[in-house]
Amino acid sequence: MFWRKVGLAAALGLMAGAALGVAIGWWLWPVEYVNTAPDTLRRDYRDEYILMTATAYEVDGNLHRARERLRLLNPADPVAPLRDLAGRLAAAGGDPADVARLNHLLEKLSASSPLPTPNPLSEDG
Amino acid sequence: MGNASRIAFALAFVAGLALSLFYTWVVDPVELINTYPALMRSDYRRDWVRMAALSYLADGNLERARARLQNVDRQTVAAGIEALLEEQTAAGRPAEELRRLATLAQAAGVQVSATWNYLFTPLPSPTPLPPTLTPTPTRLTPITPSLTPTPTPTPVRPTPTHTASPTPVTFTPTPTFTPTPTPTPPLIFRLRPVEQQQICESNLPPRIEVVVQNERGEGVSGVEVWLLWSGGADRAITGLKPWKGAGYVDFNARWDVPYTIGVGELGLPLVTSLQLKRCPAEEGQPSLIGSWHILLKPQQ
Repeated sequence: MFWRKVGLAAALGLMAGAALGVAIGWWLWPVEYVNTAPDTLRRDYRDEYILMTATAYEVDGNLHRARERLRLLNPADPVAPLRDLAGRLAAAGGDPADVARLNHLLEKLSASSPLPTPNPLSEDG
Repeated sequence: MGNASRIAFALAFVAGLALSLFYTWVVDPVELINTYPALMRSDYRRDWVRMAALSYLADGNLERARARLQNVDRQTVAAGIEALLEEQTAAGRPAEELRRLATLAQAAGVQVSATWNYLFTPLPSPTPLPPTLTPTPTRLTPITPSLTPTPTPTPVRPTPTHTASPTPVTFTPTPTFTPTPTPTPPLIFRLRPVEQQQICESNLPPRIEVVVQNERGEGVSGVEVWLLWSGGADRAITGLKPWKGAGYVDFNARWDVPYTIGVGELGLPLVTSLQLKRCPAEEGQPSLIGSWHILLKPQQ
């Protein structure tokens, strides 16, 4: 009987503590995100990011930088977000100048091979 | 409850709390999606500003550039534009490009260092005032008599005199007339919902579309629109989807949540208790949750 009471109290305590922890962790005081990266941007901002990457490339002609920017959105396939937006914009009847910029960068990136990622262990890395 | 039970409860409570906090903060924290540029790390924010400025140099669309920079703190915008100014100067870029960057800084409401002051010399206003539709009364000025009558572009004409020889005509300014232009409050304070339309589309998730227009029915970009609900808020800037119009913005929405739509930095509420509704369905067909299209325009 004694141990049953203790066990019941422990079970109740565990449940109450867990419930309070969940409430704190997810609602009252959730993890606060700052210093985020572009891959967490909302879809419209993400689209703007891609479009600005293509437009900035038109001005500075820095293909490596454009690729690195896109890599922040999709490290495995940096060209994919660009291709996706170009397709969506063209289908939605977007500004032809924007579509042309995206396609231009897409063409350049597809034609060039990515630069080797610097080895952080190398002396000049 | 005996002492042993109390102790067991307390220990289990602490253990439960610790375990669930570990789970909610470390194992499965609140999902990180739908962030906006202001939350990005400082180097990414600077790069965002840089790209917005370079894009402005390429497309010359000041409204769009302003909308892009609106989400970023002024300090980062100023630093980003200034760094680009320095870089462009060092690269020997044409003065016109530098001037455009300075115009962008002005339009974004940031102050760059005094070194660049020379770039601010006579520039067209970044946002030209729209032409007034109603003629503004102007004070009549004396007309210098001339023997050869020349057509004048002034809208006010003197009463024709039927005399054979031209005589000097002089208008005396009316002393009682003092034109006092009524200051127009900023657009966001004049916006009102003028249209609310349900959209029934099966291929898109339910959403709330907001379009901000000026008096002339033109979309206005760079306006901050808030979607507020109990316990949350989402914010977007018009003009980031230019293919849908300069004043367009949309939010994903849930059908069971009442929303408020607000504008401006303060989120001035314009539409309240907005809830998604089912579209009328044909017999035997499942009904869709409809989206809302809201048009905000200044009230006349």
